[in-house]
Amino acid sequence: MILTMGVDLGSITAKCVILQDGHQVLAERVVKGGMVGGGAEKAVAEALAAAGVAQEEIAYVVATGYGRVIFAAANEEMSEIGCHGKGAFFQEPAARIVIDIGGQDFKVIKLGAGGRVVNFVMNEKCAAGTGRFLEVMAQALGHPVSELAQIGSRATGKVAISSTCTVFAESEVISHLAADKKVADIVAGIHESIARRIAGLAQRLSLEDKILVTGGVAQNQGVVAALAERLGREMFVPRFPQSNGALGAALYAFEKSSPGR
Amino acid sequence: MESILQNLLEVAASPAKEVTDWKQMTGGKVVGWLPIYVPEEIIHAAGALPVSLWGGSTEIARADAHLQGFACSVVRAVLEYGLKGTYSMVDGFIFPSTCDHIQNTADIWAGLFPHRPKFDLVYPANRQSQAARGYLEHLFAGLVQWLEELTGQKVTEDKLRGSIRIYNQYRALIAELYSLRSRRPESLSGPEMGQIIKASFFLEKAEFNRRLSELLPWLEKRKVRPAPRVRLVVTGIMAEPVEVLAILDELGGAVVADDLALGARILRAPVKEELPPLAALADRHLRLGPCSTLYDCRKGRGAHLQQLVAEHAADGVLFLNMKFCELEEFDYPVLKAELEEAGIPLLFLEVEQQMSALGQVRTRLQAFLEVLEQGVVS
Repeated sequence: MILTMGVDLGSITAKCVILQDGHQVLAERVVKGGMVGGGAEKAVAEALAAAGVAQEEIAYVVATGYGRVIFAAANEEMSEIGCHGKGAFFQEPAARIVIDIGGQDFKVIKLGAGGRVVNFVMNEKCAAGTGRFLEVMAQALGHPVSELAQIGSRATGKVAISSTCTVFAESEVISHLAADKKVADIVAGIHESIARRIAGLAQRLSLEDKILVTGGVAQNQGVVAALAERLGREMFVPRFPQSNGALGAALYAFEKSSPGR
Repeated sequence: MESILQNLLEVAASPAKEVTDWKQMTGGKVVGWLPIYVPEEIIHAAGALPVSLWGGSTEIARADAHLQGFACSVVRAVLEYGLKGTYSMVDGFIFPSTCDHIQNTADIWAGLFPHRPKFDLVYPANRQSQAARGYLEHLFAGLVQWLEELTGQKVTEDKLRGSIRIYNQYRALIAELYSLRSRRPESLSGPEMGQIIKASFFLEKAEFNRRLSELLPWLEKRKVRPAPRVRLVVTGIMAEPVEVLAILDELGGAVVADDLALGARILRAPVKEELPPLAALADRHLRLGPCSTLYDCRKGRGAHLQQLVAEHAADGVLFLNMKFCELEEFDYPVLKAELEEAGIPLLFLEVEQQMSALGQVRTRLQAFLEVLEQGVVS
């Protein structure tokens, strides 16, 4: 039995996956607090406890995400793009496109045979179309970010959010509230704004089925539905959307721990 | 030899010191020129020291009062340096009509520094026109006159011929250095290579030629890093900030050929020594390209990159996009389609001269190298 670990240190959350023999997920944890605030250590400790194994039993650790370079406990670091590709292929072998929407960036990854990354595009430095954008908007509306999908599902229309910039979009949301627009419709407009931003970038790659949506924002069905509508394609959210990168890292770790496989 | 290399790296790191020293030693005039194409030979023939004013990693504070935030980081840095006195030892400035940003910066500059000598090098956009050659000769004759007034020296035909010879030697030596980079990438780190080229833009060229000719045989045996796992062709305005090249080295990649404006684009095309000097310089300008800043309806850059990839056995192309450079951005979709068609992997990486957070650059480069390595193995 070989145990491997993948740790994905994002900007908002830390994710940890423990894998047995490269195919069975023993534990999966997502913890608030990414690169700062000890999120990584907490995610690792919780995952070890959940799997009922000790750190010493882990044969190989691969780190990914923005904090990968500073995570000392890792044997190796891989880019999150490679890890998301690997995780997506494991979760859904038919996947050809992965749209990962994280806290501070989003990426569209094209997969070839065997889950190999053949191309990718990423957003610019700006936060539009990311989890951070959703968080800022949720704050302006006075609702937790986790409730947005549900609120948006009650929308009867969409209030257009035209600003790309997160700061301007926030003012726009506040003006809509002041104009007594329905909160549900504003939320639908926010989801649409994210989808528009991501679809614009995704169309730079020739899209193929099947498309997987991963990352924290994949848990918001409103964004996923808006994305499906914009791209005119079905979107699939895998079993572990947020830990997909950590899962890919654990899969890499397994390949590294057992060369020749 | 190590000391020659160290010295070149120091010149690149603090060019102002080198230029000031030259001025004190020779008593000559210093002429600064903005990107991209300027016939340095004429400046050299007037006994002045041509220095490149291509911005840098300074914090932008004063320039923002005059330039919009979406002007490229190069012109913002040039204006910043101008305003804070970094160019105090520069006696004259040449602004070529490269792009909107530079042309308009030239006007702002004229308003801010009305008494500092300045020459606008307004190039013909249509180089295919019969009139272009004659116009260029006339333009360069005007530059000669301006330089004669500035330096008080006569620019004779003999001096021009001498300077052209020195610059042709310079381009030939750089070609040797480029060949070495492709054959033995382990001779120099990425940042060292970039800094040697940069140093050449601040040193008197006969002197630079002497140093580089001494250095080349030594570099043939030098080994500062393992052979790269991934070989790249880099294209764009310039490979700055230099940390990008350091990250590339760290990840096991190497640039083996470039199509950079501050690099191969201004260093290719030798001047024909058999022609009268100004006609020869005009002729060279007509032969330059492909380049995003030179009008060319055939858009030859994609084909040129494919040729570089083939010649240098490269695994992919790195497009270093200088943020807000529209000319480069308009070139990109065309060459992207052509490289995709040819099956050559391409990474679009946006950079600015003043860039402190390089985490996103690292992620993109690392992922690109991972993709290429898989491709190389399978």
